[in-house]
Amino acid sequence: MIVKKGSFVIEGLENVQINIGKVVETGQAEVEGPTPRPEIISLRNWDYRILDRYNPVYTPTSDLCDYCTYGKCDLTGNKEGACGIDLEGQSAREALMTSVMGAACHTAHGRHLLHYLIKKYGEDHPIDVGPSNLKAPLTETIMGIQPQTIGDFLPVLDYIEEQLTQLIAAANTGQEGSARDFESKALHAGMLDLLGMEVADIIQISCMGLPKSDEKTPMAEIGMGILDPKKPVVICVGHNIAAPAYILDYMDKGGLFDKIEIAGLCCTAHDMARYNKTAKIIGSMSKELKYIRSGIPDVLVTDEQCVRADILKEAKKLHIPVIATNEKITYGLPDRSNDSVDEIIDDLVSGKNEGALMLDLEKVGELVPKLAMKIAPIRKAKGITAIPDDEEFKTLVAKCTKCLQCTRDCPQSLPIADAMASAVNGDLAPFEILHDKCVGCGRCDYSCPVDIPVLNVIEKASQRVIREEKGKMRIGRGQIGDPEIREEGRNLVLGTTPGVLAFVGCGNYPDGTKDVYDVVEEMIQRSYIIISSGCAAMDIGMYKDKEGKTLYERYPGRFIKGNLLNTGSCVSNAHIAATTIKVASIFAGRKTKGNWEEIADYVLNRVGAVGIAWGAYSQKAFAIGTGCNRLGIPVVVGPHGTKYRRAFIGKPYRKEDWNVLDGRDGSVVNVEPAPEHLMITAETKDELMPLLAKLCFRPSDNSLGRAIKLTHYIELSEKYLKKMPDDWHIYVRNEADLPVAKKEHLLKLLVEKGWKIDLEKKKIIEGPLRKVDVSFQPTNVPRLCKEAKK
Amino acid sequence: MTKKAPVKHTEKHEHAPAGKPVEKIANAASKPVEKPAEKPAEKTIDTTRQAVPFDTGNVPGPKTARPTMPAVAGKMLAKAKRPLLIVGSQVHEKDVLAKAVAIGKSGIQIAAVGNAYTSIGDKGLDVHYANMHALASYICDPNWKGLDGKGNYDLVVFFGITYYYASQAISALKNFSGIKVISIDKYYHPNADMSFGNLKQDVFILALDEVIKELTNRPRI
Repeated sequence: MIVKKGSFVIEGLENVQINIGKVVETGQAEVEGPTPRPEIISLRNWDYRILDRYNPVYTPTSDLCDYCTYGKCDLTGNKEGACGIDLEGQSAREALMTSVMGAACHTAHGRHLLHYLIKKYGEDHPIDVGPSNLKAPLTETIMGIQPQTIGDFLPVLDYIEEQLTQLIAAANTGQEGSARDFESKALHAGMLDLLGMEVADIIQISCMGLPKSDEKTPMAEIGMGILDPKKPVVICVGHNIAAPAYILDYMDKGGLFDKIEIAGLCCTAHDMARYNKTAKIIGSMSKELKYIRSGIPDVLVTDEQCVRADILKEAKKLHIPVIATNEKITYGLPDRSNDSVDEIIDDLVSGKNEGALMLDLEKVGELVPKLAMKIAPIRKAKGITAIPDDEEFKTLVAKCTKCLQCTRDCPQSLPIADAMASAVNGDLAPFEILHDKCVGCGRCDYSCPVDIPVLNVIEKASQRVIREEKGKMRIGRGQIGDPEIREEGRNLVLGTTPGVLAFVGCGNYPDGTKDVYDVVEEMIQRSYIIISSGCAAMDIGMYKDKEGKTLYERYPGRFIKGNLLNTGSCVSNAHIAATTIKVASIFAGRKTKGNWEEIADYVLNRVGAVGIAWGAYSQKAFAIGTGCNRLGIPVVVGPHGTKYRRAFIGKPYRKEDWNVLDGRDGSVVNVEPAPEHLMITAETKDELMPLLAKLCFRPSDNSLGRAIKLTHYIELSEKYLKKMPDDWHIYVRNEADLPVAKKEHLLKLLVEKGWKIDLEKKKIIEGPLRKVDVSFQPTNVPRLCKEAKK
Repeated sequence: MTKKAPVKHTEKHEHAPAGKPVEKIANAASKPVEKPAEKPAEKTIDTTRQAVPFDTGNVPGPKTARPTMPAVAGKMLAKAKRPLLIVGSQVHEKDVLAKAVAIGKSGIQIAAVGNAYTSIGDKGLDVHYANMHALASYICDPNWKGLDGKGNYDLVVFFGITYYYASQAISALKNFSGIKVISIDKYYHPNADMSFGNLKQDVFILALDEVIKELTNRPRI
């Protein structure tokens, strides 16, 4: 008899009904590690190993704590507040809460999608992510289970939600007093974030036909200049594909793609393009306000996460109706979920309502295209826009008093007054430069004492470059397939592929979007594997070379050196982290199920992967970074990242911090600081590039790999910082580690550093920290040493 | 204006359990600041005006930097036993760079953070590349031996670093180290112990000249 879920009665037993909610499959692989479903404290020892080497560095934005009514408490100089917490503890608590917030966003996103997809496809809908046996690496490593159907993710989300509740509880007044333990909890939240993202993306890939480990996905158009503003324009803003999918389906069925332009802002755009390649992409959150104020959108559809809080207010001014489709963002709008579509359209077109909350997604599908068709002719006839005309522009720029208040309020401290002065003389070039550096926040509007709508002025002056803003982005591919890992894993662990660089996160760049393009171009030409996701993936596609090709058009999308991959939206970040698990599992045969510590230890010591969130601003980005840190992946953020208030920075001068064990016999080996930091910032892209090369060093590198990595570290430092790195020699273990082309020169430099060198034989006699040992098995976990296992 | 902390050297802090607050190191160099900022005898540059955070939202708490005159900052720099000048990615402009070089020529060690080394690295000075975030972390460690291995510093002076980046980095020094920090940048930095106010470029350059004037007695390179 095959037992299925459901209810049944047993004959002869009156009034007895048996309900079976879940059938445990036989053949489900066994848990292989010690920590399936880790509780808050289960991985604390691993966290301590990390934190003892990579000390939390706190850079508070506020010296006060105002969490409770004891306060405000002044914690300046690490004083204690009324509850007993000091500034170090408070800063760590902030790190915890930031991580929890980020993890909650992605998990809630996953929960929303899972409800919707189970309702539509059923719990038994199978998981299908492409050519992989290791379908859900994070789920396996954290939960110790191998999910087969989307319903198998229900207990996964239950687990995350329970853990997040426990973590939030720890942040109440008093309670936890140890900064170190707050950080352990923050790392736990980061790990949960990775898990929540994996659930969200796997279920949408499996059910909604998103690309499945496809290295050759089509290109999507991207940029503020790609839409035909004469057609009705629908813009979806946020992160959750559920509602936009219905709109795309309705348009597809009705043959409306020629009649209506539909595009996305922020990660919804990624997933719309993954769902239907006809959808277009405007760009990151930085473009939201600018694009709305252009007046081009005829309908705005919001879902969740990176959606500006003032969208309704801005849209209302331009008679753009807003359809809110998610409980998390409702803007005070009336719930019209039970009303007829035609009735709602009448109210919105007439201006009776400025928007509607519509939680019936099927109705959203019908409502939005119909609304766009009806309201667009009216709006376009009126030529509604917030952008000043030529005469207004001249008047506005002439009003500037050069008080610099806008610069002081600007997150990037942009020289707006100088651009105004140039514009008075007819030179718009400074404004065009500002446009790329501007993050579109609109704070300047509020700061101007003579009421110049500064953002609109920037946009008006930059019309020429905005019209030309047309790029291409390879649509998100989802996971990296097992066959690709088999092909590349060895190169990565031995170091002959210099590293995997993951460009992720948001658009709060310190000096414009082009920096990301420049860094990616430099590193991909050096054969690093570049993986991208989210807004960074979009911005990489915004620039072209002299032949008019974007990086996505120039470099293929396979997981091998010198390739450029886009995994997809924010939740697709899970696949980037999971790739390191796949390397540990597929290449090295490490067991995954319930075995986080061993996998993370492997990644930290052997997989040269680094995350870069150059424009990170959100709590989600912090949570992703913190999750990657717990998995042993270093992360670099841009200078704004110091405002996250916490980093994990290693101290290379403290030799005792860099002891590892040799897994063969448990002996202690003092190694080079590799990787040197787990979370750190850089001030400029020039500083970023050599730092990335350095963070790819791992103790396990073989000599060929080390020589390749050293070559890039030295060359990038010489090219961008005009100097040999001060610490290059620390990474030299023998003469075979030296880049061949520079060997003689470098040996002479080593002599200057006091090393004993036989220059004739080109041999290092004395000097290195340690010798190369090809069989060395670096580990930070004593129980993983063979002697301990015995 | 904040009253200076009592004289006490509290070792801080990396793995210390929640303990006593960090208090500033008292040293010879810090003595002149005990006096309130005074008007200079001869009319020169007043750098104490506009002492409000340059980024309007950058308000850290009740303790904010004492506005300072260039001569006071210069004297402290001149008398410090182990000072460090930190410059960053805003140091490339010719006039600003010249002032950094002049300070370096007075024998003061320079940490070039960000991409500053590209401009200042070839001037024959005692200059070291450093990552600002890591540098802040190291300075907070009383056991750190400095960029040259000769010991930690007793005074940090800085200018030419991206405003918010510098502000965040020195918030670590403010709260978790005993080192004294002076901003001689053209922006008011509330997290420093002492800072110029917000200055126009020409005033800023003149102010740096006055700082440099005080360094004549330091050993020259």
